[in-house]
Amino acid sequence: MHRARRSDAATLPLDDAYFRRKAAVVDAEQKALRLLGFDLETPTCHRLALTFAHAARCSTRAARIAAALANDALLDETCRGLPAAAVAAAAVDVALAADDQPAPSRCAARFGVADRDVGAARTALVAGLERALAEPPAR
Amino acid sequence: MSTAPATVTAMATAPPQPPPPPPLAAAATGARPSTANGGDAPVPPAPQMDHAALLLVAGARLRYSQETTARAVAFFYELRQSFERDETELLAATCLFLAGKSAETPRRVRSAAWNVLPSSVESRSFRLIFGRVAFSRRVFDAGQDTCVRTSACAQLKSI
Repeated sequence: MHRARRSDAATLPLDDAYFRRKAAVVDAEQKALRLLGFDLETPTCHRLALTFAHAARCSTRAARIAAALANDALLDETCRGLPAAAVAAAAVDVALAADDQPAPSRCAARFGVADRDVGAARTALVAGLERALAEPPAR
Repeated sequence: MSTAPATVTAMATAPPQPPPPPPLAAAATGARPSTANGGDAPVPPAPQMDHAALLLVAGARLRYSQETTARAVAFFYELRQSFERDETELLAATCLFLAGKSAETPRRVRSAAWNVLPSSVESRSFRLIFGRVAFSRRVFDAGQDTCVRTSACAQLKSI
């Protein structure tokens, strides 16, 4: 059935290793849930970035750039170690600057985020963007 | 004490520094000779595969939203210290599975496990991306489903 529905995919090897792996994932899930204290509410910067963009009256293009920057921040180690609100505020900052819009209204301060964290996130995002823009386009 | 003179003597009679490694050893350690400039300057070593990029690719293949994939990445880096180093792949599958549950968009265990398998993740597109590009955000520019339109790089290039 898997092969029939997705002709481009390889056939699933349904041997003992497959079922052992499935059981291992379930066991690891139990371990992870206990380590997390059954609290799966993790703040992510995506929704905050869109909220900040709405509060700063960003254009649609700037809001899209901010959402994309929030997504790209997952790949940056510096941004992963910073509060989500700081990364979201930095994403909105960079998006507004890229879209030639006026400076933001420091929404992150309402969430208790230090300007230093926002600055660090902004620096990391800009550095990553410059690296990505300098690369040749993917074929 | 007599240890100091012995140490000084040992340092004085220490063998000279070994010669630089031959090109074959340099290639084995990742410092490939450049072919673009005639082999004068070494090319930086190939980048290590980023776990966040692996999760993003797997999340896109599972048709997760960006926020769900972001949850999986957050779980992964929070739990990474509690799992063994050889359980990275298992942890990635678990985090994707848990993130789907927490975002009320659950996927099958087999889908989460299958999509982080090296044989599955290292598909043709994945090899094309990570074999050539240093910065892994290019993954969004290579036709990875929903992430394509949201790449900040692509957005800025279109301005």
